[in-house]
Amino acid sequence: MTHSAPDDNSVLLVHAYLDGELDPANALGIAQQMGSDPALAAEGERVKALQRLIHERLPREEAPPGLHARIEASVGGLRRQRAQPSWRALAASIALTAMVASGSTWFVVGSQPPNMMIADALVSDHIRALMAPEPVDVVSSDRHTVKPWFNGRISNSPRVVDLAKQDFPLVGGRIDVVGQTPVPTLVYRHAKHVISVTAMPAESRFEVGSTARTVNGYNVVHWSENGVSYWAVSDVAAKDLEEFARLFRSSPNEL
Amino acid sequence: MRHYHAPEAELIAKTDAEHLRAAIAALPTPFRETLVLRDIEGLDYREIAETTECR
Repeated sequence: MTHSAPDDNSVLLVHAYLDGELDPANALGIAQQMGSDPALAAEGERVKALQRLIHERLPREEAPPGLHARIEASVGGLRRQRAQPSWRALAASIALTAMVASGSTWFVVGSQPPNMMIADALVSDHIRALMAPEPVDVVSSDRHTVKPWFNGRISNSPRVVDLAKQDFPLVGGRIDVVGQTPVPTLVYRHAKHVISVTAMPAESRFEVGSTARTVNGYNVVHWSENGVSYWAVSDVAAKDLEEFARLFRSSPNEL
Repeated sequence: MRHYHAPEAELIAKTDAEHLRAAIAALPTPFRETLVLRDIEGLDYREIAETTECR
């Protein structure tokens, strides 16, 4: 089988894929094409190398004042609105939801801590994602594609680690909603199981070791580090999810 | 998982920042503006189109 030079349309799709701009169906299609066409794969490698070079080597310089003004005028308002989801508002929303749902009793006797409600919400998000055609909004096994995809869409871009060698390949990412706040969720696979990992601002900067619980038959592992609270949700065996959390926490990989 | 390491990719990775800056500076303004907005400022395609009034 011979491979000719990729056509212009395929090259454009590779660029859009690596920019995280394709819908799941097209992303899957071009990823498969790159897997079978060395010329297209090489084009992808060239683009990734250039993106990496710009990101790592090019010092940030001040843009012309006019450009900044135009950005602010056209999308600045929208980005500011997205970039500042209020964590206090989320806490207030959770408290309000709990009070309405339980007739204020948990608030008085403290029988249901907020973490339990966050776990409930994230398990619901996970189930909803499994019911969708794809459990992700951006399909990519490349953390250099997934992490930038969150930039501009959400204020806190999560730490993305590569655990493919440990049999937890990255599948992509999506944006979930807890309370009324959008939160970044990474999606990994382990055998045929899907693992959703959501990152949210932590209440405290103290590191919290992982704690495991079960919600509606789904295993949930929670830990905090560097001011970020992580929640892993999956129907994978509890010991496997705890192992995933251990690997995630100990991985130094970062974009 | 298959990985491809094209010689061009290796070459690009070794290019120093000065060459990169010069190459970007040589781009026609619309291309340069798009590249800066996408790869440095992190705007998505829709936002770039709005900013550069391409729609």
